[in-house]
Amino acid sequence: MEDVQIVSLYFERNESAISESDRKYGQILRSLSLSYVSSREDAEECVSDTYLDAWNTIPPHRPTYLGAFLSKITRRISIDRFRRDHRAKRGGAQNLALELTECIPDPSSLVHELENRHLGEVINAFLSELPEHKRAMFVLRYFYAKQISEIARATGQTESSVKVTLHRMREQLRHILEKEDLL
Amino acid sequence: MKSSKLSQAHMLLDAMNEIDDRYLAEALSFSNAAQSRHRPALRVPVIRVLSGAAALAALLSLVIFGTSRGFLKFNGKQNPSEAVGELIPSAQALDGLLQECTESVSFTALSADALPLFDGTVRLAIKSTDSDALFVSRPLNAAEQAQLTLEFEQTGVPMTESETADADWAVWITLGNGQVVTPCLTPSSGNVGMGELFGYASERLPTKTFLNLLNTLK
Repeated sequence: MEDVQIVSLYFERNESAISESDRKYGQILRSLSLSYVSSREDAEECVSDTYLDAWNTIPPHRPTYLGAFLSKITRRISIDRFRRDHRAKRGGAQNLALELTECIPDPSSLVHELENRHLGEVINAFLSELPEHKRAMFVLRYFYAKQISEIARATGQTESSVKVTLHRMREQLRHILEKEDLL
Repeated sequence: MKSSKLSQAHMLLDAMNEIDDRYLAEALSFSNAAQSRHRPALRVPVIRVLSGAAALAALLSLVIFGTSRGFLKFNGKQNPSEAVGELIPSAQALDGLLQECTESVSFTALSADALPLFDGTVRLAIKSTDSDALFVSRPLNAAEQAQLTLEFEQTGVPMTESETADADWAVWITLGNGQVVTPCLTPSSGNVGMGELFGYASERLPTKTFLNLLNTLK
């Protein structure tokens, strides 16, 4: 089923929107989530939460690229879950330090959001200058969290070539971030 | 400070969620294409068997019809230049024609990075083996694409090692969905590149069909 038809199902509040989304993107989303969380069960929960989030966001939002839209939700939920689990496993001094971070004024979530947006704009400008296959390498690695071997297969390059290209792109991005006085 | 660097890296990781949806979809298309390339699908052999059977049936009916009407004679010699898909005489002939194409106004010199691979149009890209110059054709129309399909349905003829070594040009066809093929390699799923003009050592000589296409384009 085409993305536009699945999105229409969300708009009609038809629950088959979820099953159709899962049929088309479930495997990609599970694999994406598994790159961040430690178990299949956790990944499954993250994907279920993704559909719930999508159900609550569409409408009013009407995504053009449903796969990308769902992937972003899964990634955000999975990273949050990873951080929560990771934090829970820390002990002793680290836990105390974490408690003490509450004494340090934190930038508001709005400021954080704006910083993220600005950083995102810089990353998008950087990506727009790259040829397609290099851009795909970067996105597959740092958004979809794919293994080097998978990226090599997807882009038809050798693993060492992928590693070298990613290294050069990280260097390029560092220069840009320094120039923009970000991070 | 390591910890501050790490927290900034986490910030960068979060900011990756702001990547434009178009780029995410583009990257997914690379990943999906690779998966379909490596999936030993049952469908492919079935399609091949069916198309092979259909081609055989068409050939048999042509032979039966031709012999019954008397215009196909097996003891007579046909003019090879009239046969569809006739093999071109040598790698040099192909090289010569490719050279003419690069000198034609129908081909544009581009850098490999500027070559559009995802714009939905089929193009021919030619590169000299001893220079970086890349020459790209205008988008191929439906009839020209049909010629290409015909070319890839034919076996071609294996090239000798010396012919492969002497080839002055490399030629690729970009399919507009990121996939890249060449008429100089045996058509197979393993010989389909994704998102780049891959290097290759020629295995086969393209047929007259491809030669005709080059003549149309130059």
